[in-house]
Amino acid sequence: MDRSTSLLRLILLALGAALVLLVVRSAFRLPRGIDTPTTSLFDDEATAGSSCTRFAPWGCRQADRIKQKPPSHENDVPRHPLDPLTISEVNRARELLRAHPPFASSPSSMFVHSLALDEPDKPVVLSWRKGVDPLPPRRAVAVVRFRGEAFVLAIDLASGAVTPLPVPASGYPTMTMDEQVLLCYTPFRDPAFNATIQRHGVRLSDVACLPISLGWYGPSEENRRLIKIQCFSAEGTANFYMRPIEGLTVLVDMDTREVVRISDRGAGIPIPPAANTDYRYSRHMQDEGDDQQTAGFQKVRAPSMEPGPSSGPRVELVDGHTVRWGGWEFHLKADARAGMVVSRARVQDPGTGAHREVLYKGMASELFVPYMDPTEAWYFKTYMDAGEYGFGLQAMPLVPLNDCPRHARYLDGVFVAADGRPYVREKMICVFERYAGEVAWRHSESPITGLDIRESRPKVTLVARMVASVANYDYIMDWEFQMDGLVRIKVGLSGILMVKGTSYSHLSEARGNEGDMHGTLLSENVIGVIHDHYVTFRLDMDVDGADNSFVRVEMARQETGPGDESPRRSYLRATRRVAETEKDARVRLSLYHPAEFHVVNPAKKTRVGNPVGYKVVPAGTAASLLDPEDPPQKRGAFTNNQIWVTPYNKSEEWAGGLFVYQSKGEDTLDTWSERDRPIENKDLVLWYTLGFHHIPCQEDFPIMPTVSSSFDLKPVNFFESNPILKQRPTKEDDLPICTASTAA
Amino acid sequence: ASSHSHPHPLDPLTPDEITAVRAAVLASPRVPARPLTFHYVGLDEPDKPDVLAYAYGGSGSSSRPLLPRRALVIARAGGQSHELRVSVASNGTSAAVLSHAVHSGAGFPVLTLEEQFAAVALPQAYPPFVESVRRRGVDMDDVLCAVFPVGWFGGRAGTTAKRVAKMLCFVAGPTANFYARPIEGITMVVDLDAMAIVGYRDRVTYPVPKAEGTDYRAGKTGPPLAPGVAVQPEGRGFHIDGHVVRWANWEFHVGFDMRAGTVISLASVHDHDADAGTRRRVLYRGFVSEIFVPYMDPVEEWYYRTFLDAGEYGLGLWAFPLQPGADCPANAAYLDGSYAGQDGKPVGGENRICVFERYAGDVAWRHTEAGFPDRLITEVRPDVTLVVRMVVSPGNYDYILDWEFKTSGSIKFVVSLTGLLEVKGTSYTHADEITVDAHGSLVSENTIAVYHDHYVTYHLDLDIDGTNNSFVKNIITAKRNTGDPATGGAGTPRRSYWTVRREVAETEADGQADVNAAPADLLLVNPGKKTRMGNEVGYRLIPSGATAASVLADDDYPQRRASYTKKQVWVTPYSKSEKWASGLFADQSTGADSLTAWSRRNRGIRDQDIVLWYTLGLHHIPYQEDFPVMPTLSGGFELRPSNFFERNPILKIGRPPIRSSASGNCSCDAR
Repeated sequence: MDRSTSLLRLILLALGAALVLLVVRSAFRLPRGIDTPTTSLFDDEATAGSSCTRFAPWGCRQADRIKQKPPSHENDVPRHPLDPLTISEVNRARELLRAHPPFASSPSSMFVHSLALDEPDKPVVLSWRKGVDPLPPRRAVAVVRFRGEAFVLAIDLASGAVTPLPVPASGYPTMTMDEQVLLCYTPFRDPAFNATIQRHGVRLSDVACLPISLGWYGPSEENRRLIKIQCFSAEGTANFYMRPIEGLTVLVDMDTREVVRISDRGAGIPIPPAANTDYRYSRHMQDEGDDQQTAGFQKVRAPSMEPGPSSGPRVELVDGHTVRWGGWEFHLKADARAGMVVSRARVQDPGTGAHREVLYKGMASELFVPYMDPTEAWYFKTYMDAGEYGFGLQAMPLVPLNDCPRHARYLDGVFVAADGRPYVREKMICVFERYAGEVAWRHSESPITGLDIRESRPKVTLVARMVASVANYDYIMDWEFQMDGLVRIKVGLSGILMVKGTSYSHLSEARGNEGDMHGTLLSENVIGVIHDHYVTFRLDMDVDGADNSFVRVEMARQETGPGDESPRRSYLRATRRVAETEKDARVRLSLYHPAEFHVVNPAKKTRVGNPVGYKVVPAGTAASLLDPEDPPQKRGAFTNNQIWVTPYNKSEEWAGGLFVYQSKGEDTLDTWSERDRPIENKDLVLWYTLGFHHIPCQEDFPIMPTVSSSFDLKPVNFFESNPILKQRPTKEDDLPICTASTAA
Repeated sequence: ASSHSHPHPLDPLTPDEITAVRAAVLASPRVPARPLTFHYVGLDEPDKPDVLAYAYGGSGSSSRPLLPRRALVIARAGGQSHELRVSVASNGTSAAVLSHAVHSGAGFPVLTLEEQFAAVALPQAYPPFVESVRRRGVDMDDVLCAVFPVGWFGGRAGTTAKRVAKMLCFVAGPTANFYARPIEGITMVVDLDAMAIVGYRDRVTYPVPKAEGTDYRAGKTGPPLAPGVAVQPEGRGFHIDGHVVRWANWEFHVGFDMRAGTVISLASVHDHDADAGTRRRVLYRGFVSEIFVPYMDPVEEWYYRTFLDAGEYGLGLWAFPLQPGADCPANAAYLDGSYAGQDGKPVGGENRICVFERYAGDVAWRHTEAGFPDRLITEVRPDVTLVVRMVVSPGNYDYILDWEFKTSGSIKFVVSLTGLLEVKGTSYTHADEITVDAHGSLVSENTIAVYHDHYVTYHLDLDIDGTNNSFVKNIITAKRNTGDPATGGAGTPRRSYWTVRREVAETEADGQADVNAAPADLLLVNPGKKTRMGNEVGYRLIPSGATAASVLADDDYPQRRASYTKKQVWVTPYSKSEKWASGLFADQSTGADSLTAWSRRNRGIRDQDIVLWYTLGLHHIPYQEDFPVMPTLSGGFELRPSNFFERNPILKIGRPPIRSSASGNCSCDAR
């Protein structure tokens, strides 16, 4: 880089920092006793954040939590090659980064956007034996920004070596929680913003603001990290999302924390009323008075789903991250970006007792949530929740008894704050056995045969769950393991719709202009805007070994010939086609052309000669309708197909690219796949995208009943026969003795 | 005297009523021929307006006069099918024939269990079959046979057609899973009226698959696995009064029919925001109308296997007692399903339906709010549902048919398939030996599991907030943004978005929908009722997997009989006689009396009393894991309120159903 340009940038940055300091100092009167000397830009702002002033209600909770260092994880040590970084490892990595030459000159100017385990190479993990081999060298990979520039660095925790890695050509890394917090303060430092708020008739103390990622819409917004902020009135309700100050959008420079532009096109649009928007139990109890007036469903009490007696299998959580249950064994951990990661999933073959590989690594790789309103205040709302916000960062503690049943076990996550310090996200994942009254298999024999046979087996499964609350939305992410070898991956959508304020208070007022609503009138002055959700999973399948092939089993009508003796005229024929290259394996599902999609190990066959495999059973098949050239669709091009298959590449993990924020789609699953690499009999990665089109309805207001969809990974000729054939039936003695206590 | 404290006009016929009906039919001079066999005896439910007045009329239930009880009987005598309507006295002890007709079109009624019993005994005494068995080295004592409908493949239909079936035989020996050991290559035709074998062909000999690895009965050995259990120490949260079930905000009537099995009627939901005590109607009557299972092997022994399980076998007839703790959890309640035997006498039918509350760890709704200073708000409600279940085992397959009622006002329909595959004997012992289309998968030595489909068609007479409804398609349409407000675009760099084009179906042709076509929300709405916001109240149909449609040629004979399986959704105007998608007389039918034929009239369906028909479809390519008994495979669909309620109906759900103190209420020690 030209030296003079570099110097100019430094000067501008310094001036910006000084300006920010000045503004902070003048905008907030810090309470007496916490006015400490300013040692760094970050520390000062963190201090400001922790004051939790009334002017910026959003996000302060994280600031508080970030400070906590729960002692229960202080002494954790890794026990498995895939175990996430421990607290001491994070601290070690932080020290190494701060001592690294570019950052050593000003460690306080370094912001950590990502710091996570750099997983050992796949062959190393596969060959590692617990109790026999030492852990492979522990390495971390960090994404940091320093004085406006992004760095990707590999850190060897033992030797202390810090090695630069390639940086993507476009895009910025995931926002840190700290800056999401601080950005919400920024508009309040702008007098024009405050005046605008007051013109809308809202008190500043009632305002809650939300940072909304920008997307990418051409060159005018490039070369600086920008974000748009939308604000709501939190007066009278916890559900401020239902009370948008419509049409008001603040464009903020994330680095200088300056307001770049205020757009206010909301004249004449009232703020929707607070009535009927709150969802808190305590609030409704106040409203309802005594229980006598409640409707029938309010008295519903759940049966308690209990695991079987102690003679049965139990969920074993070994060394903190290894889960064993019902023939399954897998490694489970929390990740700041993906949320929950399932690795080395192996299932026991009931015939031989051997644990066979199914999945090396599985996780949600990216989400894409485009809203369908092209107007100024809405067109850019095309979220990529994992890459922009961090899916795992947005996971909040699960609520026992409600998010997860009584007998669930919980795992915490250890994450890294922007200053590189570790913090703990408690109860981020739960694991529980599920019995929902479903049947695993059964057969009753007809009395015509003279055989009085009634054989039935209940279905018990294992669920690993995380919930990510990405501002308004709550994603319930379930991995369900069945004893017949099937894995069901399920996404439940709940939480609060992103709504648009409107002058309409009844649909009759919109007569003739329904198309301009771009959604459904949910309540007075509230439109639920239509949108999509796409969740793309990366599934590094290793069916009975790393080298697999992707097989499409196509079902088509076959006509019988005139020479055939059969009076049938048609039947269904199944034809297997092996995909040779990446483009052969792109699947845009067309249910007019039914097909199955298998990942097989061509080198392994069953006793009667079928290649062993797993199939992906599609569901949640909504596909993108956006124009392929629309900027958000270029960034979310992984939604062009429901199924992609790529050769294994450790660096190809994030479907939206490593740097998603303001990216242009240059480094995505679509561009990798464009290379059309061979995939036959190779180590494969299967990518599956679950899609939802959402046209809101009034029942989704003010908080949505959960909508779920899922897809399955199902063994196909993986086992010799039904693997749960020998499951024994329930006996009366299996039932516990339960009586209600008079104390209730 | 009535066996129920509160009899209901939709209650299934009681054993006493069945007895009275039988006596009336036998005494009737209109059917003098003998022997006379009863093929269907079911409630001929009162006319819809009368039922609605009974159920939703203003006065209290105790003062409502009972509606007249009537039965529909289908009986065969003298080679004819007779339809009789019989009135039953209110005390259920006497009956009289009201009307009589002789069926003159194609098709025959449901096969009775008794005639199937009689037919399967014939081969053992039939010399050519005995010789074929001997030639295959099989012990006749190990042989079991089953009756298979022949379908229709052109040729005579109607009164001149013989009522015939084919019989296939298997070897049991040391295994209970005889379906896995077919005696391949033999076709026998039995005349069901004459009860004699009238056709025989032994075309080819294949090895009989071995018995090893086919049995599925619990032995003394095997890995221990104790299942989870559902515990309700404070008792069930639902109430059953006769056949009326009340739970949470739901109330509905559960009936039983020998052809359909479970019948759900008068489903209504309590709306907290509506007038106090108001129940809003959702579904007048719903049941499985037909199950079509075509196999995909065109050869002589297989081509005709294109079952219509409800119309040919009867789903209620082939429901068997449910196993507590295995078919249904420990907290379930059970309902019986009586039906009439071939001789017209009542058969008990214990424990045919179970009802239970389900909590599977799912979340009804939730939100975590991190946006407030000093506090994290998390509100979560567990998802508790009520399941009504029946299991049908028509031969090798087992269908677990669930109706799941949710507190959100949704009804979820789930079909789970398990049981035994229909397999074909073969000389192949390894997949490498297969060089031509085997029409199936090699699942064990000498055993091919044949490709097939399942189509389960529901008849759902929805009455959303009233009788007159419309069918609406909210078609999702991609739209391009010109970027120029002058041309109707938005002045932004966004180039595309999708919007909704609303189409109201005017006639039956408009009401057909293929859910695999362009994306759309499909709704049934009441155009006369709006929410406070002005949205039409409605329910949305949400397919959930299992959306396969038939790929058979339109002129293939089985497809003509079940041509409604080319699309998942059909909407017809309500007609009391249009119940069975495959026609009233489905066995050997031609499709002339079927959902497709009725719908061809293209009647108006806008703002009418309409019926939704939904077909759930599965293509099944078998795998070794499906042998010898299939792990359950599920699919379903949901009816979800869409602008039916003013807002989330479970927002004000009571205190979280499971409290921390629950552990203090219940001791869950194992015995």
